[in-house]
Amino acid sequence: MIDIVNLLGADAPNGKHLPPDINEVWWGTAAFFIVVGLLAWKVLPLVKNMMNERSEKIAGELNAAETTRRGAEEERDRLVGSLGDIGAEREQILSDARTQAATMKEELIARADSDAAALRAQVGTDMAASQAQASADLTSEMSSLTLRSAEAVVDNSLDDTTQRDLIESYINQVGSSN
Amino acid sequence: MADSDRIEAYADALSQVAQAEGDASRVENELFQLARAYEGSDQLRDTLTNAHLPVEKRAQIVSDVLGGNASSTTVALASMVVGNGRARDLPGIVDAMVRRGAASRSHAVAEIRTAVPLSDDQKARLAAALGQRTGQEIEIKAIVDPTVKGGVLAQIGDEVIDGTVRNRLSKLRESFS
Repeated sequence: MIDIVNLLGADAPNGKHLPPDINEVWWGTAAFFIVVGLLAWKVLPLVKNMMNERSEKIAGELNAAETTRRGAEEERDRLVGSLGDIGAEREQILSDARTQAATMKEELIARADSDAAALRAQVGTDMAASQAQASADLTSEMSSLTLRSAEAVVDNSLDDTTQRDLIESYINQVGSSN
Repeated sequence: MADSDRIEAYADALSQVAQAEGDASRVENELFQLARAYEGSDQLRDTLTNAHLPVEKRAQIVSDVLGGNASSTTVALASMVVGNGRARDLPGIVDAMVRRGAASRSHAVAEIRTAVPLSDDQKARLAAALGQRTGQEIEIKAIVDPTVKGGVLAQIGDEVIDGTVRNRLSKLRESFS
């Protein structure tokens, strides 16, 4: 250390380490402390305030970030919960839909069976009615033909002799019925 | 006056006139034939009930229907009924008149329908047979009705003795149905 001081003082005009004028040292020292005092009096509070403000700002930002993070986590939790509810609701809807589909299927099958049975019964009834009607029509037609034939035969056979015989038969029948 | 009362009143009047003229039986028979002809002919009904035809014209039609051989009493009585606008009551009036006449003689009226005319002998034997059956003296009022086809249909009051071919065919038709 001393070697360095000596080396620096070697270039001085008097070859010593201290300045040649001692007052310069004192003034210089006083000026130094004045500057240091001014700095400590005026600048240091400003710097401290700036530092405090900055610290507070950072702390606020950290708190805001924390609050935001917590909000995000709450929203995430809520969404996750909602997703769970949605899943349950979806399962419920699917279950209801499956139940309704099964019920509807059973009803449709039952209705189809009922309709088919009714249709078969109706067809059977219609066939029986058609057969009965056809039989009745045939019988009626045969009866009509038979009657027309009988009437034609009777009309052709009703000559004067037959008419007289019919009247005589009637008279005899009425007379003998007493 | 009710229609039935009016018919009985006309029948009573016609009976009294026929008896007064002394030819009641013939008048009854002729009016009976006219009444049956009236029932069986739509054209005759329309003509005799047509108020726009003069009474003389309708009386002439009555005479024509009776064949020109009818007694003047029959023509006059029929014309009177028709002229009074009672042509539609003619069958009822004549039937009531015939019943009254028969009743006055203690006889019942048998309305006989046949497809061919009856001879007098057949009428007499039929009246006797019906008398035996009913226990009453019977007067025959014969009607030729081709719709019976054959045989005899007798109606005495409410009793009907149907021995016609039409009835037998009808029963045959019912047996098929």
